[in-house]
Amino acid sequence: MAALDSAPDALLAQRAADGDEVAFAVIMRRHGPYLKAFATRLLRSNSDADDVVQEAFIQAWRRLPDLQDPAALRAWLTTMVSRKTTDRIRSRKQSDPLEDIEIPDLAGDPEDHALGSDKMRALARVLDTLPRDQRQIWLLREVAGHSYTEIAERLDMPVPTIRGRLARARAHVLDGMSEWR
Amino acid sequence: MAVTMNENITDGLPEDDIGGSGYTLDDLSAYLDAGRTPYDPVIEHNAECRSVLASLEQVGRWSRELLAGEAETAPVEAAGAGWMDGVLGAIAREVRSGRDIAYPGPDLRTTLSITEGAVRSLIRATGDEVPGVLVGRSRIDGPLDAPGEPVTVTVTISVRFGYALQDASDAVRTSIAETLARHTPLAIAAIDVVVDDIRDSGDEELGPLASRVADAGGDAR
Repeated sequence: MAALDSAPDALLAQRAADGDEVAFAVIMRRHGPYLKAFATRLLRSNSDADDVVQEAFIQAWRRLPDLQDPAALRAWLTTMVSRKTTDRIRSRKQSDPLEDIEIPDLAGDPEDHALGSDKMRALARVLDTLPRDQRQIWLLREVAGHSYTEIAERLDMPVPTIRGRLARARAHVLDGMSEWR
Repeated sequence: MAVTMNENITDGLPEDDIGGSGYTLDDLSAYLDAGRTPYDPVIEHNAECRSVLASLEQVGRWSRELLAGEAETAPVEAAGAGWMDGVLGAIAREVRSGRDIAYPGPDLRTTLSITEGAVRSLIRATGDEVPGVLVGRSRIDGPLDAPGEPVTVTVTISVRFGYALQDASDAVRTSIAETLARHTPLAIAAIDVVVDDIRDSGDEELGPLASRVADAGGDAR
């Protein structure tokens, strides 16, 4: 239905809460790519990111009837994805303690070429060189907008650690982006 | 390397003391995340601190732009298809059927009923037929287990900019009343239509008002 494709988030969320699967498919098409990009940057894995986004959407379908502010749909979905993602990060750490050691992640980004500007490519590279924890904290704060307390709970770290690592991540990004500012 | 180009930020990273304020980057970062409250005059009156705060906000904004850019350039198929089908398959098993609404009938051994979810679906399909209208939520208030007991239906709608709200909601009320009378056992006491959104005419489509204005402009010339 063409009209639904351009319908506002709030309306789609209400319809989906009422059981309209077509509206929910529009929501997935509209927000899926962003959530996937977010999860991919957090997890550095395409297939894990797919899984997480999928799980998050299934949970979103169940919880939509409780969504208080349907206009804030993207923020709400982002929170779902970051919960699912951090669950995965925690279970990775438990199953493989080596994951806890901060090793630089995958070098280069497969989607680099698709990014619009040199500035965005530079930022993508800078984020890629952040230690894992710092990158995750950065994304949870700057993209998902979570509080220090939420991030601390999700990543199982004390609040002062979050605060310190976020500041270090910011120093690193400011440094790496100095010629663009 | 660009590292040495911007002395106030990059050289040795401003870990210790920014602009003689006595605050570290760690402090400024936390101050920013606290929404710059409570207001700290030492920070806010220090040019270097303000510049660091502005830079922090800027790179934060860029990182959101980065993801939005990645989302835009990601082919919809690559992001969708596989996992979307998976999700749709999973949610199809979790249909929101709601309460059962029984049809009154003489035969006590068999009952025919329609679910609340199916009624909502009828309401959406009917309301969407009205030009410029999209149905949002619908609610049925009243006892559904007692056939013939009057119920009230509340429907929220979004109307496209340029359509008359009164006409649109009247048309929605009338056609939903007809549909429910024909296809459900509900005894409708009232249908309340709430317009809770007026949406833009959209990028590609012009609303009737816009096209009328365009026509009028054409006639005048």
